Amino acid sequence: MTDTPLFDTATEEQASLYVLDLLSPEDRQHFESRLAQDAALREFVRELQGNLDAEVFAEPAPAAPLTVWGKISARTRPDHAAVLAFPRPVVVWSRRILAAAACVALGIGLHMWWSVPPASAVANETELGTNPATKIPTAITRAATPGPTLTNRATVPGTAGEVATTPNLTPPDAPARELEKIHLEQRVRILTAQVARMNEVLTQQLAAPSGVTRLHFFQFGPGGSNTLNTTADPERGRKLVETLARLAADQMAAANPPPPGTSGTGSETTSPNPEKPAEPSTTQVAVLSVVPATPTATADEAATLATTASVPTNAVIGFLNADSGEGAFVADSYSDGLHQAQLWQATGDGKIFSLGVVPTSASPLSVINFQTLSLNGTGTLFMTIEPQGGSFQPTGPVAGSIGSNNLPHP
Amino acid sequence: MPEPDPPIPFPGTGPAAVPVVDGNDTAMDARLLAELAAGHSGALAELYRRRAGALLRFLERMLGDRRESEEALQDTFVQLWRKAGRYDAAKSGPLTWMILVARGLALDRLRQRARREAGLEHMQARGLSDSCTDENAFTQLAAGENAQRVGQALGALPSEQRAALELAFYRGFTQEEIARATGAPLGTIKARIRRGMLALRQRLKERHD
Repeated sequence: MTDTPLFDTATEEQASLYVLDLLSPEDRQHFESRLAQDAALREFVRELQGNLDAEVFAEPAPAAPLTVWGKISARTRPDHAAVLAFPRPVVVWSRRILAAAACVALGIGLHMWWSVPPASAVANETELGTNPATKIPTAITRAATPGPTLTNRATVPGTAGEVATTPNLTPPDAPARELEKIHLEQRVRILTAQVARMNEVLTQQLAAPSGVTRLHFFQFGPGGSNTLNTTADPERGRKLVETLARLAADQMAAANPPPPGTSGTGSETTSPNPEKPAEPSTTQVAVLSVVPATPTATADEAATLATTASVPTNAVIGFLNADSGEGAFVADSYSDGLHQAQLWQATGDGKIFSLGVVPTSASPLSVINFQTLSLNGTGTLFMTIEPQGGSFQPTGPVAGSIGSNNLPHP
Repeated sequence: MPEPDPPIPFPGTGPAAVPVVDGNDTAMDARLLAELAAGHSGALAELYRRRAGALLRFLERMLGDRRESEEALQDTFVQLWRKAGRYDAAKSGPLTWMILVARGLALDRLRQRARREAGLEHMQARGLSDSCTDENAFTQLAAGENAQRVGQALGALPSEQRAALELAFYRGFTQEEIARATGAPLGTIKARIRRGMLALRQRLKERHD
């Protein structure tokens, strides 16, 4: 502590009373005007204040109560309830999410069509399951009975307006090519139903951060309907994810109107800065996984970048505004009653912060909001499986992470 | 719509990732307040982790009730969140400012509960008469449960100085109220406060030397 010059008794007394807030309003005002002009006196007052600081914050300090923090969080983030919570309605984004979801669903459909097994393998009446040969979910019709005409007029981005249409269903003894068409048609129908279901969830109450999204997570639902198992072919899974990321990003960019104030010049650009060209809709793809089964990764891997090569069964679709740190993701409501997924952020200087637990929900899909610290181009987002209610620090295995290499740099 | 989940946990410490909180590391607190002013809720969580325990202890000393202290702690951090933009480093250190916020909220509660009267009654119950010339009374105050609640530095002060500072800092008594409570003249109270604050200052200097 610096040596400060001594003051007269009256000044020392005034300073002591000032620090303890014992001066009358007039005396206080007079003393503060004197403080403004006397640096040495300000230093002296700082020292006296430091006395009380040390008194209050003397070590060892007790642990901060968790329950109080929860209430603080609820009061400071009322729009989110908890940092991770069921979202509030933002109608505008619902259209964008729908567009992205439709794109994702079509991408899944195309992929499944690419990996269609021989016609004989799908001629039987079976449930939606996994083709043992490829371990990729296959959409299989219950019965090859004639049904209504199914017309699919979906446009796949990048295919210059091609329209896929499907013919009427034909009996199973039709030529193989026709069977392939039937198979595709049936798969599209199933995917359409899945998209409709996803839409139903996503149109309820959505909230997503504004701004350009350049980091994409992708989700492939809870175990069951649209699970994508990539363990057998991780490279294929990675390519698929990247493809879907580009598709969704293109769709998002097309659906993303110019920010307010940027179109005042009448320009068609969607860039926040009319003088700068619009940025590519996406340049990076990453996958954050949520593992429902017993994971084997350790918490020490939190700082390392997990690749899609090790994606078990699920991934997370999300958005992150690297500038504001706001993010949202569509997540599987993973919970086995004993554990919950918890999202963390590790900053570039090695500190780890909890961004909250993924709430359990009756809905198979939830849009989760979170707020990261300022990333400044570095940092890692990762998820661990923790005891129900979350933990003060990562204790469970890492279910997935996105490292700084995958985050956009300023 | 499903109910939001229970409160989230506040930030924890990663494996050897977060340094031990240094009571003198006010630079970090200042940085967190700046981030708070910029709207980063993560900074509030980190600030809570670092300082909430000590602030709760301080509030308990003021309010004497755990539940009410937790409510005041909650109010404190909500105020920090809302008013972080008003913090002026030129006027006070970050810890001082946080104490000011917490203390102000606690004093509001004390006024509402008319704790000053209870405090006077408490002191009178401990054998302090209105004239209060008995040194033993101050000795009782120093040796009683209050001594265990104050910090090490304050607890080491002479009893009359400690009593004056405690009543001012933890109870929000005015100079006149302290004089009335202790039975000492107003001028004496001012002198005791001055000597007590200088003694604390000296102890801190010796600790850092």
